[in-house]
Amino acid sequence: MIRRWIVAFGLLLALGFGGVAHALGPDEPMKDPVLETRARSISKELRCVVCQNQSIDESNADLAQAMRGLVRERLLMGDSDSEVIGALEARYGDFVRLMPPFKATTALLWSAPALLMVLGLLAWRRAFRRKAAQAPVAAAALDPDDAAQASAGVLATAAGVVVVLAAGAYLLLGHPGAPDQPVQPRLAERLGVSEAAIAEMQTMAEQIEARLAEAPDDARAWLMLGRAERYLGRHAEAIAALRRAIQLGEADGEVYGDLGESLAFRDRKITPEAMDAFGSAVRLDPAEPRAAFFLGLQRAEAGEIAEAEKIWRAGAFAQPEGSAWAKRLAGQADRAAVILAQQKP
Amino acid sequence: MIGRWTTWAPLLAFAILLGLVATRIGKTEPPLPSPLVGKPLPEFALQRLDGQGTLTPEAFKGRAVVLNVFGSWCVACIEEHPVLLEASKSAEIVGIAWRDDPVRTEEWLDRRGNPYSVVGLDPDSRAAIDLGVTGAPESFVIAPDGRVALKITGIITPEIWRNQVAPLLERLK
Repeated sequence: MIRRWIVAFGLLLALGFGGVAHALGPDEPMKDPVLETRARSISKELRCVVCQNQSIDESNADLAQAMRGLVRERLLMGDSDSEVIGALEARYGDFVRLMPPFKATTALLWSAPALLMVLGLLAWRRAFRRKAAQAPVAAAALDPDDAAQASAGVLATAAGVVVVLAAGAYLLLGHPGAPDQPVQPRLAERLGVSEAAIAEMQTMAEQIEARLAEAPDDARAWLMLGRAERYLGRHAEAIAALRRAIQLGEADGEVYGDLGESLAFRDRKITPEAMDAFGSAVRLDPAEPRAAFFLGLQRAEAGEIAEAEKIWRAGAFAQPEGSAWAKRLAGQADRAAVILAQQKP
Repeated sequence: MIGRWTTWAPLLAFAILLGLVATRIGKTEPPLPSPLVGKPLPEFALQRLDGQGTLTPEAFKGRAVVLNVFGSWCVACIEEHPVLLEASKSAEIVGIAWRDDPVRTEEWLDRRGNPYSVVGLDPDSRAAIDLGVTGAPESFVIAPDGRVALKITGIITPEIWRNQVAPLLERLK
């Protein structure tokens, strides 16, 4: 307990002179709204291990911030939600999850509400039976067996209904595993928009597809389809549509940026194919921010930190001042500069 | 008979609960078991404080060592420090300076003595998160095969060193 306070105090002190820029600027939203919403929802499920019952999404602690950064980096590298949570679970144990998983050691915890409910119903039934057995003589005159049996039957039915309802609600709301829900509501939750908006986007995609069936050479429609698919997180479909749009003449820096990003998300790494797309994006629009971000990241991963810093720095300067991308790219460049400074003897 | 049972059962349950609360209250919670114990040490690559390249688990492979997470900002680490200094005469201790300014780390070690064979810098918690660290100090006993043999959350007291760490290191040799 005391140690926690010491640690918290220490972290506060560290904050004073910390000033180390983070690779991703974890508190800045990610470019891809789908990934950002996923990052937020994962962060809500992870415990800030130095705080009292707060998620890393809510906490301002340094360690929580670092963990948020890690979540975002892993998502960017293409991890699934459960892979991200699993990675942190392997390091901190179940404790890091705000909602404990269902397994042998937690079975009692999770089944206690249902067990108590059943026990309560059993006790209630027993008590009721006793009452029925001691029913007043007036009722007995009507045929005591019938009356007791009838009310016991009603009670049993009622109890059965309650148990089924409770079990149903419990499975729906209380089960700790991945919720088995149709795609639409889950997507809506992840994106932080209404189901109606998702449905609308899906309808729009279908309408565009219908239009493309009639006019397969409509470049604008292919582009719109590509962006709708990206919005819905279907990157493989988005890539096909964007390629078609480019082929038909809708080729500017932004479209190539979209394509490169979707390629990187689909393949979970920066492939030569994605590099090509970002290369084209830069040729058409030297200020395309995602090209700068990923081209720099690719260099950094290859160990060419100085080169990465140059690309990020240039990219940051090319953005409108104060924009999210300007900050994010500058953050990347600063981080690279710190690493470079450390490498120098 | 049944009537009595239903009267006493809830009271008994309550008494048991009360007893549990009474015996547990005021006790410090046991440190959470680390899922890392028994598993290979996670990979990391940290800049070395002395500037001589990077520190990876490769650096102490084949030897039983104590990996100690500390920081110049950490008050509890000051309390632990003399124990480590004494222990470093007979054991190898590797340091990870967590969320620290290298200059301050260096000053701190100059002033208090350096028990570490090598110190790696973890300014952005990368290795700390990989190690499941929740605060400083935290220490890990690493077996020669690279597995985590023991995790100590909090200060290594002379007793902990004598009774847990030293015998374990002896056995792992």
